[in-house]
Amino acid sequence: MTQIEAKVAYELHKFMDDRKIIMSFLGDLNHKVVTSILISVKRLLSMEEADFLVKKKLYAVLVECLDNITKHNIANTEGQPETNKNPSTLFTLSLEEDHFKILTGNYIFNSNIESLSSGIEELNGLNKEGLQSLYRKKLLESKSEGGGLGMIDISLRSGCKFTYEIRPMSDQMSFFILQAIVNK
Amino acid sequence: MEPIQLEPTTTTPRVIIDPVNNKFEISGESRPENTSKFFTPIVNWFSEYKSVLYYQKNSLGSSKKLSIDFKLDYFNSTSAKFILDIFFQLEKIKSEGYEAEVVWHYDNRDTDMKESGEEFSKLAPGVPVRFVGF
Repeated sequence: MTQIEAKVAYELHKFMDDRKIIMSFLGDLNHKVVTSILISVKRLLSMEEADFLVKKKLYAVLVECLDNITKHNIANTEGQPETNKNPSTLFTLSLEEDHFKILTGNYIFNSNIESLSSGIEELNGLNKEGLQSLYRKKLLESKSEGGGLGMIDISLRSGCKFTYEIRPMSDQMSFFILQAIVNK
Repeated sequence: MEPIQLEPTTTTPRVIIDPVNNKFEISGESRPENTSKFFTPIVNWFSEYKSVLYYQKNSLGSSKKLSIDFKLDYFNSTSAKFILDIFFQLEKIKSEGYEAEVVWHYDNRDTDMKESGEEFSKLAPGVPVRFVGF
């Protein structure tokens, strides 16, 4: 290894340490990769001193977050633009004093921005009862794809609001960053 | 009807559908890569089981009580739809005059899992659900 590469590794490690990131992934996600990430998370959680239910909630929120970015990775979409040279998805899990933070990032088509943000705003505006009744409604009408159940499930289990940001990358694509919190 | 016996994997639950011994169980973790492919044969099985119950009742005098044990550690949102479909199948069986119930097992510390069972029960009120904490 040259000195420059060692420096990159050291700096990356320090960057993650400073932000309390205990796990991260950048690349092409698929079901197999998600499964191996989840196995590592389970092992990590078994050593973590947190409440049983909190661990269960975190696991469930993680599954839905990872499923979301796997399913909605536009690299897997037919007819994706030629300009899309970097379809990588991003995931980090950090462990703060009193909460777990999950951050995901994936590329989306600009044509989906409006429905995506209005969907998140709708969930953020609902209380527990509102989320439960939306969950029931979606469960009864959902097709085998799930149809938005995952995001409601995250809101219900975490009890926290989503934070998100959409950064335009080109006239066709944007990078969508979503943050979910699970309190300890 | 042919039994279904599936060993658990890291992403799919154990499935026991054994009409000879009258044992029905779905347990473990459920987040299959292809949820529809995994669950559709199971949902269909219960749909077709009505004809067996009909035969038992009319030719043998009485049908066996159908009791299915759910003992899940975790299921994802895509699996939820199919679990509800199984509840609906049992609801139909019950409405046609056969005995049927769901036994919903949950870890006492896992209130979310208990609530999930209660949600399914609300959506399929026609089938009795017994809650068993462990």
